[in-house]
Amino acid sequence: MINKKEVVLEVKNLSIDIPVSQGILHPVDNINLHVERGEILCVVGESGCGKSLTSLAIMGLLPKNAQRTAETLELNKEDLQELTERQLADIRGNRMAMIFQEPMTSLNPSFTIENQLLEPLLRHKELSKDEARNQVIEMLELVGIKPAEPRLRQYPHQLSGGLRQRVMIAMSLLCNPDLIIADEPTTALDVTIQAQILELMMSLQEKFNTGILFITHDMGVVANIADRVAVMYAGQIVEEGPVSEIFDNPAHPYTRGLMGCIPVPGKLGQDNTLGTIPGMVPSVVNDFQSCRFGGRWDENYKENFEPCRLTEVPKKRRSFKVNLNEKHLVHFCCDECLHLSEHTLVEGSS
Amino acid sequence: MADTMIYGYDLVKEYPISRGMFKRKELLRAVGGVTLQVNKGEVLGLVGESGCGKTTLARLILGMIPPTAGSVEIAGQNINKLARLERAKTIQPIFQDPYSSLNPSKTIGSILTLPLRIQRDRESHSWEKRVRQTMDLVGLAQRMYNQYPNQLSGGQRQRVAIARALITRPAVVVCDEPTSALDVSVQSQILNLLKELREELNLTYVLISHNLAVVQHMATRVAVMYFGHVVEEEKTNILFEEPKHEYTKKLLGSILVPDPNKRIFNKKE
Repeated sequence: MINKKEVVLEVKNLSIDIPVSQGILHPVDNINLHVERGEILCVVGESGCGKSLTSLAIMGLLPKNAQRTAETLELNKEDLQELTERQLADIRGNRMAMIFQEPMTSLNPSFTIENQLLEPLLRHKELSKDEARNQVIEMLELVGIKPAEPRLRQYPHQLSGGLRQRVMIAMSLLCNPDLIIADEPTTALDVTIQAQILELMMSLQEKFNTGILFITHDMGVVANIADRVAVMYAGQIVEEGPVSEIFDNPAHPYTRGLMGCIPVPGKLGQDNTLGTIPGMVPSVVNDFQSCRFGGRWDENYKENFEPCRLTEVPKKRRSFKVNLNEKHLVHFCCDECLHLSEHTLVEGSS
Repeated sequence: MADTMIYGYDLVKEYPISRGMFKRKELLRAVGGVTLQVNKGEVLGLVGESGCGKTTLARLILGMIPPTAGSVEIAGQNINKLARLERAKTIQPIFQDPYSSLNPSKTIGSILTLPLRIQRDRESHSWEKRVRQTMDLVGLAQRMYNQYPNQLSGGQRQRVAIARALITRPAVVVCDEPTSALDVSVQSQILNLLKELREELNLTYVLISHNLAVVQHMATRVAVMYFGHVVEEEKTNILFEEPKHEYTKKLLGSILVPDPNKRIFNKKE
């Protein structure tokens, strides 16, 4: 990884505003991320942290009342904000594709597999029906549905969950996109099937050299597939870096808390209790004043250190970014959190 | 020898499934001859893929459905011969989804009082006190007594579900995927709570989960189910270290350990 790779997706200062009865909600607040060709960026975070909205914002599929603002939103250097709905439709499914969590609801129950897989090819590429059909069969065999021919006439309900997700993956790869956004694609599947699907996604990504933005809450999945990880909390990316750095050397209190919550086989004895993150994610409405992580410091942590309790953070004391090294970035919501976490900011050796 | 809390003998459950309007109904064997024994204070983990019969077995143990063959004894009494009220006093369930297992139009207080009312507990003046005590036990704030489920977070709702299961002081609790609808940070809170309560109240758990890390963390013994049969049953540490059955090996081989140095896939470069 000496020479810099081609950047497929570049997002700078993306914010989403949604008007609610109490004012304006900021579910995504000034986030930056990029995906390079042939890499997997995992976005992790708990429900409500804004990770799914981020993916929808990139695809241009936000609900109507949500307002998207961004300094940069580029797919392969092409500005996505300038495009009309029609031009976007040419890109979706063609140059960027999405795999959703629940394969039963994302496939149309009233059309056959063949019908649904032909559509993106006929829509985006100038192919005859026979050529397209051959490509569909080829792709289905590539994702491990063999023989593919009899499956074409079947309906989604006749397939198992794993097969349906394979069909979704085949569909997303058909037009050989630059970027695939996968929103929790294996959460609804059994562990054995999950392992198969992830392995499949990784081998295909290698083959087609696609960039993948992978959204998940499962740290096990992240550790196994990610090249880089971005941790989201309350609408912000709090930490971003190579997967080994994030797991071995987490710097933000939220990342550290998250790591402590997972039962790791072999790491904890029977009597050990799991770490917890007390409290709840604040809902970031209007000009949100207090520290986003205030009051959520781990109990064990509180014994040794004074946690941040700022309830009103003046504007100039908000938002601090620390570069631990070239690739590992930590973002604190207030200077107090930064100050209190200083002992965790070990300068990376690499 | 510890007391046997749950004893299921050769349990079979078959469901008739229709193959078409005029065709003869076929029988689907959801659980095909399972014998299991859980001692007092143990946590039996039930793992397996979806459709392997975990939940059907749990419902048999709970006495919610009658077995096609075999019998279940809870603390020495046949569960299907017990009256419903008696049964509810000995064994209680906690379900997966706290969003759908609580009545949205009832306050937390009345949800938690209902088991006492159904049990026709004489001392009705003490109901509120007992509800509030149980809320303390599971870590719910007292102000939630008059709140509705939709005002609570997922973790708090699951605490309500746990409180409701425990208020009649059952000896056995069957937890069917108690944390799979929750975030990891909330999951760890609920798992810690379940562990604490087990020690405090000397409970026996049957824990169903597809998350093997959770089962390894919680269970003292694990039964692996595959197509309606228990293919392997062993103490937790032995099972995870030396799985014997092929299916168990496959299952353990697909665990994704949250450690980038222990990847199970072969990565490029």
